[in-house]
Amino acid sequence: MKIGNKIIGEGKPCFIVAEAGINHNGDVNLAKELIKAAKDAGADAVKFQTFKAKSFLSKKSPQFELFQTLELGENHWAELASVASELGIPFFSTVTDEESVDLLDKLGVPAFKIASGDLTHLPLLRYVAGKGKPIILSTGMGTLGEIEEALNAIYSSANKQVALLHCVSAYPANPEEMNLRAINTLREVFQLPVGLSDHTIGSTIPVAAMALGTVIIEKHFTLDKNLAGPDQKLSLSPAEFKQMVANIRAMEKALGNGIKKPTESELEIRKIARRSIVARIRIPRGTIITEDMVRFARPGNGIEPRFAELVVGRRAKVGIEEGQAILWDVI
Amino acid sequence: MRKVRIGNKFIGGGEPTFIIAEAGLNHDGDFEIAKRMVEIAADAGADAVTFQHILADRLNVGAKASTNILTDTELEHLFHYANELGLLYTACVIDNESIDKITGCGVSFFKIVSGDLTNLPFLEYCAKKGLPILLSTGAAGISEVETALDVIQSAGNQDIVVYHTNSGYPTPPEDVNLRVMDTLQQAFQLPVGFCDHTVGILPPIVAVARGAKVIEKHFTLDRGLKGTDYEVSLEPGELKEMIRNIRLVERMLGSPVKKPLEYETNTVKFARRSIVSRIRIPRGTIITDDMLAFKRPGTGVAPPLMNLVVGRSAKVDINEDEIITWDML
Repeated sequence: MKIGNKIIGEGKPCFIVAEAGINHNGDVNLAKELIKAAKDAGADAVKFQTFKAKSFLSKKSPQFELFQTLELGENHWAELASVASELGIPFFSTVTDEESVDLLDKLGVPAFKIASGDLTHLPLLRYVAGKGKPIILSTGMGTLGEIEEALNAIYSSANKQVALLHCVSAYPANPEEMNLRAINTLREVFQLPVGLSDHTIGSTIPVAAMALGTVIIEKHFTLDKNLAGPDQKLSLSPAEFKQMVANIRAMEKALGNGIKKPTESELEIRKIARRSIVARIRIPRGTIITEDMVRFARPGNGIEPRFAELVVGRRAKVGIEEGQAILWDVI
Repeated sequence: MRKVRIGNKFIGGGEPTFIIAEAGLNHDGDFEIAKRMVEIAADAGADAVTFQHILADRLNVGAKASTNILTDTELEHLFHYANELGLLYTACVIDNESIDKITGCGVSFFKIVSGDLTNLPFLEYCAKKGLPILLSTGAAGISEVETALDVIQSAGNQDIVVYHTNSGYPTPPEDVNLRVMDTLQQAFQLPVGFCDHTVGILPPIVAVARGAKVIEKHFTLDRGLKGTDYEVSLEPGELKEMIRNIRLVERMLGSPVKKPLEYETNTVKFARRSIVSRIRIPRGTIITDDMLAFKRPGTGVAPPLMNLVVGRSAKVDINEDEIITWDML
């Protein structure tokens, strides 16, 4: 799958998404700062959530007032898209209704994100799929059957550009309940790129997920965890996010190609760490070497211990000092 | 994992199995028989035909020259003929001079026998020719395979297929150890093939299902001729049958996606069940569990939706043994 000019999939670098979410608290300037911070931290993209409270919440919902204050207007979204474009960081957002889909599509976003809660919102999925752009689908709280149904809804409009995010919708989530192995299951069952939308505190889990070949990491971040907001405490600070990006890149390199052989840097140490056959006592010239006359000591620049049988029983051609490594030419 | 290219064919990943019909020495030095064998290989659908061109006096200490092999010229003609018939070709050789000769004849790959796995200078020589190498690893431990690969790769040649093979002629089933193919693939990240020395066509077919990317099998015009490897050689009909089955297996592996096939979605209705009335349910009755049963065909309401049926009242009289539909509730 391709987002902007980045290819997402097995063998490709992990696509790291800085989720600003609602951490802007309704302030477009704070949102702009978040975009800058995401770029500085080395994220591959910055993401927000685009909604109108009255469109996806019932007025009776206790969250209604909060989400109303977190709304950004159409012109704000245009500003944010523009800031991101100037800074050269891909910008996209979670869509929650047809209006937000149209709005973001017009702004030229390279992909759409669907929140876990909307996994079963098939009408929305069909509408988004119809735009023909890549879709990142969160699967928190979902079963294989629900994911299958969601994918069928998307595929029905001939849009096959989907990536799944394994997600545990707990805020925050505990490491014990993360079940990272589900990432393998999703990949195997649906034959799609699979990532992780992480809600644990800290970045241990996303970095660990790299060992399972996770190709997308989405993580909340904020300018300051002490700001007000429901997602602040599970968000990373800019410095923490930067560190997470560095750790993810390091993990990618650490996985390697699976072929077991010494690395370049190991070759030097190999000589020192291995052992040589060494004279335990002074061996006068002409003596037949016996087992008790030799021992095995570092460094390994002499004869390897496994050739002991070819040394024992041979005659010393010259005198060998105690502690001297026995070489082929002295026997 | 990188794919290996032999001629115009690719090996590895999702590519078709590369099938080699090994004539070996079953021609017994008879050029006409060898020519016929090339035809058989082409007719059976093999991708390549190979010969053993091992000059005994170069191979064994104190051996006299071989009597049952073809001359270099005859071999060249056979290569030419194979090419005409659309087959790729090579000869299994064991010395540098022969390598030079067959390279000059335009072979597209080399096959190294298990006995030469530790013939490191020879491996280096072959590797430097820049042609793909099929490396047999019979009777070897992992360290010998590792060393051989190291020599070939250090000489700049990465186009290697590792052959799992057994040196027992013929190999009893317990000793086939197809699972070694998984080990070789995991350890060396190279395409793995299977050079079969059992009797019959079953192991290569199974090996393909298990991920072998290359299959090599001896064949002969007639086992009755008792050619060199006759016990483990297939006759023409068997070779054709083996190849046919291998292609079938490739098709059967199919897609990993678990979903009903198009034509299954129609027939599955008759295999599933509907919620039906066990007894007569008069109009107005509130439906309870014990009034219902589950029977085929599945053209009505599916069993998982029970909760939407139980507790509703019958809008009309429902007869005994009738499929319940939504408009009845």
